[in-house]
Amino acid sequence: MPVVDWLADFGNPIAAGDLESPAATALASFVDRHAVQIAKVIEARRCECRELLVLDFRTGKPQDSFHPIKKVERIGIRFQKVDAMPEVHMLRDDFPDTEHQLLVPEGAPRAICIDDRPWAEARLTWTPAEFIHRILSWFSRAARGELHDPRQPLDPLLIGSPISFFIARNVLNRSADLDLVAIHDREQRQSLRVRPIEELQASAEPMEPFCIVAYRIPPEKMQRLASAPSSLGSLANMLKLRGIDLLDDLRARFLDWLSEDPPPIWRINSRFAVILEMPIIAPDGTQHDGTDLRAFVTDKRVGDISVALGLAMPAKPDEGSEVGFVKSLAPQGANLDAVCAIAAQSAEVHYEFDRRLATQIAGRNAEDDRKVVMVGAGAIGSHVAECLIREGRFRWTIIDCDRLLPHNLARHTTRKDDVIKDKASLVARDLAATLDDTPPVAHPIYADVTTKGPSRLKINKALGEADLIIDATASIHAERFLSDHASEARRACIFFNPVGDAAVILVEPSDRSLTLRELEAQYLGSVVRERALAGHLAPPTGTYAYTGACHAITNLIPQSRVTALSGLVAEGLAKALDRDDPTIKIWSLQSAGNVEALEPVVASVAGFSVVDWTVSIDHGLIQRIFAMRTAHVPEETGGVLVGVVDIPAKRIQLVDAAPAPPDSIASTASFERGTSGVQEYIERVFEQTRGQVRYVGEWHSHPPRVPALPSPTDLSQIDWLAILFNMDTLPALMLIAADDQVSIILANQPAECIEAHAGTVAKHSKDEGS
Amino acid sequence: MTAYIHFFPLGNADTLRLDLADGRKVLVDYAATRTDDDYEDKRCDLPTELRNDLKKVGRNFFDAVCITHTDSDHCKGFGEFFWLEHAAKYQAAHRIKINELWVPAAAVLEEGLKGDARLVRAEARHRLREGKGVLVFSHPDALKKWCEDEGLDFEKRKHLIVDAGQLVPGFSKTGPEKVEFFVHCPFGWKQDQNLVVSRNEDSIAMHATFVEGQRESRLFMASDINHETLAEIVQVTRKHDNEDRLRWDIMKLMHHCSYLSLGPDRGVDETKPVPEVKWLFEDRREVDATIVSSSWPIPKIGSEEDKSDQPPHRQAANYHYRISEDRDGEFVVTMEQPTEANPKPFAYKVTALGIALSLAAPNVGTTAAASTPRAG
Repeated sequence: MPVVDWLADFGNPIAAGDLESPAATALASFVDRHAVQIAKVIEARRCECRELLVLDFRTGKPQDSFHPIKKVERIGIRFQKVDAMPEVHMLRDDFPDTEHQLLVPEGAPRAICIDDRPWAEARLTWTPAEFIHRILSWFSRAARGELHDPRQPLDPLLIGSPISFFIARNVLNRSADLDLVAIHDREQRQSLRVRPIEELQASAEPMEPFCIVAYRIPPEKMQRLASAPSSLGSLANMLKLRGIDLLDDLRARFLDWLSEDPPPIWRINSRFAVILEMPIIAPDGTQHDGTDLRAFVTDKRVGDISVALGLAMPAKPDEGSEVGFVKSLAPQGANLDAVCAIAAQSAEVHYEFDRRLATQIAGRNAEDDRKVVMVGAGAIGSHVAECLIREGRFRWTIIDCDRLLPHNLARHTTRKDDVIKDKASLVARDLAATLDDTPPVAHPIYADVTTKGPSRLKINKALGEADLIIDATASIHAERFLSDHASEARRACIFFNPVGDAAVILVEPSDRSLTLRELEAQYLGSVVRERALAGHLAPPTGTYAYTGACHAITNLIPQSRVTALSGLVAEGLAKALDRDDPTIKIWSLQSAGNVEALEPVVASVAGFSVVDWTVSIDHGLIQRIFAMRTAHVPEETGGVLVGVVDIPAKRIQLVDAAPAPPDSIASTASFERGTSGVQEYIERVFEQTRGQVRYVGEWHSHPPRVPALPSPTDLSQIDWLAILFNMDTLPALMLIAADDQVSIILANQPAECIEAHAGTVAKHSKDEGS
Repeated sequence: MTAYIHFFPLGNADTLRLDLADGRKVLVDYAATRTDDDYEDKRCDLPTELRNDLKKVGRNFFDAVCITHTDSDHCKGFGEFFWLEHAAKYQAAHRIKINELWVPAAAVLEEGLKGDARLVRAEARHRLREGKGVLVFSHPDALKKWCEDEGLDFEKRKHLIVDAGQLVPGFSKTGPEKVEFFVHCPFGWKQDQNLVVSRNEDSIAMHATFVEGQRESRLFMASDINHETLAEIVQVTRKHDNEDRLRWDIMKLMHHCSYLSLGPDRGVDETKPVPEVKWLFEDRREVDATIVSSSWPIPKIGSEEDKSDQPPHRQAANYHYRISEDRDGEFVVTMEQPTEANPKPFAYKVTALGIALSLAAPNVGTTAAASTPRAG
C-alpha cells in the first residue's frame, strides 16, 4: 500500500495540540521547543485510539551515506492505544531495505527498530529526548553502514505480534508425526508452549490441541520478506514465491488424515499453525549463517481449514462423525476466499532450552557433549553441575551414596520435598529438567563409588565410558580411588576448604601424564609455601551436630559463599577442561568481598619405584633443591623432606624440602643437619596441611664433581633413618643432590636418578650401597 | 578527533571556525555583528560563542585567525576581542590571543583605514616588523616597497608570505591536522596593475582539503569576491592544471549570496552565472554538496529586502536552490538555521563518508553540563 493511502487510512489529520497520548503530546512539544534543529512537526492523525505524529527529521547523513537515506526523512511515529513502544515508520515508499527494521504487517510503511528493550523496561526511562536521540542514532548508523550488530539476527523483528511460541527443536523436527498440545499461560493466553501429549502429566494449565506443519525454505529459493503475511492465503502466496505450494501440501496431508480409519480426532480438532524455517537474507541479498524461525498461528482447527480447502464438511456426532468433520466424497478445489479469510498471526518462535541454545548463550561456539561422571552430589557438586548444565555442558552420570537430609538444604540445589531421596537421583533429575535433550541429559547411580557391592559393574562401566571424571566428594579416599581407577578418562577434582572460604580445582592434563594424586601433592606444596594460603586448610571455627552422634557434624558455611565459590569453580573447571594442560587453581574469598585467585605452575613429575613403593617428586621441587645446593657450593647443605604418604597404596609424594637449619655444620665433604627450627617447620607443615603432609626423610647435597651416590657416612644415616621410620612402619627416604642429578634411596634401596636440567628422567640403576 | 566546520548566524557577515583533527583551531574572519542588549537581534553573540568553545578545551588562543579583508562584516569587533601585540591597551588578560594572523597584502598596505580595519593593519604591520606571527597572502611590489620604506629586510620576511597557487605552510593532509589550504586569491600581479586597493577582489580565497579515512572532503571559501575574480581564479587554476583545487563538498558562499558573485545581471527570478562560475558551481561540485550562505534570510519575492541592492539576492539564491536540488545538494542560510525565528550556530563534520551535518539530540545532561548554574 502506498504511504499516502496508509496515511489516509490512518484517520483524519488533527492539530498536534489535540493529540491525546501523553507520549505523543510530549514528543510534539519537545520537538517544537527543543529540537527544531532536528525535526519539525508536519501533522498529527488519529484513528480510534491510535495516534500518529508526522515529522520531517534531519538525519545528518554524510555525502557518501551507506544506505540511500535522505538529509531529511519524513517519519510517522505511531502511538498505540495500549501502553506500547511507539513505532517509527518511514513515510517514503522507496525507503531502503536495511538491517534493523521491524517486519511490518502487510500494507504498512517500513518501520525502523530503534530500541531492543522490551517496552516494560524502556518505558521506565522513556523521554522524548532519548527517543529523538535513538532515531538520530539509527540514521547515523544507517549512514555509516553500521546498523547490523553481529550479535543480532539480521532479519527484521516482527511488529505488533503479541504471541510467543515455544517448542523444542526435536519436537519441531518430528512435528507432523506427533500429537501436540499447546499450554497457555493462564492470564494472557498469548504464550503457547507446544509439547507432545505423551510428555505431559496431568497439568492444571489450560491446554488446547495443536497441530503444526513445518516447512523449510531452501536457501536458493529464499527472498527477503518485505512484510509479514497475515492470513493463510497471503502466507501461501509468500511461500509460492519461495518454491513451496502450501495449499497443495496441506490438501495432501489433511486428506491423508481425514482418510485414516478411524480418523485422528485429536489432530483434526487441533488448532493449526505453520512454522517456517528460512535462511537469513541481508538487505543486500546475501545469505548469512543461521536460520530464522517464524510461526504463523491460525485461529482455526485442521478440520475448519480442511473445509476451506474443499476436502471436508462439518458433521455432528449424530450425523455419524465423532471427529466433527467428514471427508467430502468428491474433494473440490480450495475456496481461496475462505483460505484468505483465515487469519494467521505471526509469532516469534522460541526453542526450548537445549544444548545448542545454552551453548550460544554461554558465549561458546562448539557444543560440549562430553560424557562426564560426577562423583559426589553435595554442596559443590550440585551447584557446579547446576552452572555447567545451564551453559550446555556435558552428558552426566551422577554417583552419590547419600540421601538428602534436612540440614543439606542449607547449601544444596534441591528442595524440601526432596528430603530423604537420594542425592544422585535428585541432581540428575534437576539437570535433566533444565536442559531439553533426548535421551535425558543426566542419570544417577545411587552408590558409593568405591563399593565392592552389586553397583560395582555399573560404576565401572560408567567410569570406563566417561570422557571426564569429576570428583566432587570432598573425600581424599574417593579422590585417590578415582585417580587410580583403570578408566582412561581425564580426571578433575573440586572441593572447598574446611572453613568454606576457598575453593580448589585440580585438573589432570588430557594425556594423564599427571594424576590427581600428583596434583594434590603440588597443591599441598603451594599451601605449605604460599603466604596467601596460610590458614587455607584451618579447621572450621564452628560446627553443627545434626543428630548428636559424634560423626554427625557439619560445617557452618553459608549458601551465599557456596554459590559464589561454585560459580568460580564451574567457570574455572570448564575452562581448564577445554584445554589440554593441567590446572591447579585456588580461589579465596576475602573479608572485603574480593577474591584472590592463585594458579600455581604445575610441574611435570618424576616417578621412582623401589621394591613395592612409589616415590614421586615434581621438577619444581627438584629445581628448588638445586638452587639451595648452588647457594652453598663448594660446601654441602641439606635439610628435612616432607611429603604425602599413602600407606595402603605404598606411595610417597615429596612436597617440600626445607633449607638447612642455621645450626647445621657443613663442609666440602660433609653435612650435619642441625635441629634449630626443624621441629617447628615439621609442625607448621603438618598443621597447615591438616596432617596431610608429614616428615618423610632427609636430603643433602654433594659437592661439585661428586656423584649422587651415598657415601659411607650417608649409608650410616640411612640406617639411622630406617630405624627411625620403622616406628611408623614406613620406609626411610634419603635424597642426594649432585651436580646435575638427584638420587633417591628408599628403604635402603637406591632408586632412579634424574637429569634435572634437562627436566627428563635419566634412569640408571645403581647397586652401590645395597 | 573529528574535524568540524562551524558557521554562525551573524547577518550579512562572515565567521567560520575550523576545528582541525589535531585540535588546532583556525578562525576565518571575525564579525561580532550583534547589537548588545538588543533582544530583537537574532544574530548570535559571537565573542561568547567563541569564548565558551575555547573554555571547553582549556585554551585562550586561536592557532590562526584569517581576516580575508578588512571590511567591517569580516573584522567587526577585532579590536575588542583579541589580544593585540602592537599596543599594551589591547592586552587585558581576558583577550584571546592569535598565534598567527593571516591577512591579504592589501590589509597591510591600504591607507586611510579606521576602527577595526586599522587595528588589523596595525597588528599585521607590527608582526611583520617583528618578523613573526603573521602570514601575508600575496606579495605585490607595493609590499616590497613598504618593507624598504620601513627599513625592513624583505628577503628575510619571505617565509611570512604565501602566494596564490601555494599551500599555506604548517598544514598537511598527512599530518595529524589532516588538512591543507590552497591559496586561490589574492593575485599579486593584479594588485600591481591596480591604482587603488579593491578590497573584495584582493581578499583571501582558499580551498581546504580535509582527509578522513580514505576520503578527501573539500571546503571552498572565497570571502566576498565577484564573478570576474572568480572567473579569473577558474582560468588561472585551469591553466595550472589544478582543477581539483576547485572541487568542493562544502562551500562558504561568496558575498552573502550576492548576484554579482554569479554574473553581471541580477535577473528577474534567477541569476545567470558567467561560464567559468557556472562551471565552478555545477561541474566542480561533488554529489550531495552543501552551500552555506552567511547572510540574512533570503528575501521573499516583492519584499522590501527583495527590492534592495544589498545581498542576499533572491535571484542568486534561486539559482543555488535549483542547482543544489538537481545535484542532491543543499543550500542553507546561516540566519535561517534551524529556523528564521531563532537561528543558531551549526556545524558540519568531516567524516570518512564525506561532509555531514553535525546533529545531537538535546538532552538535560548535556545541556546542564554546558551551563554554569549559580545559586545565591
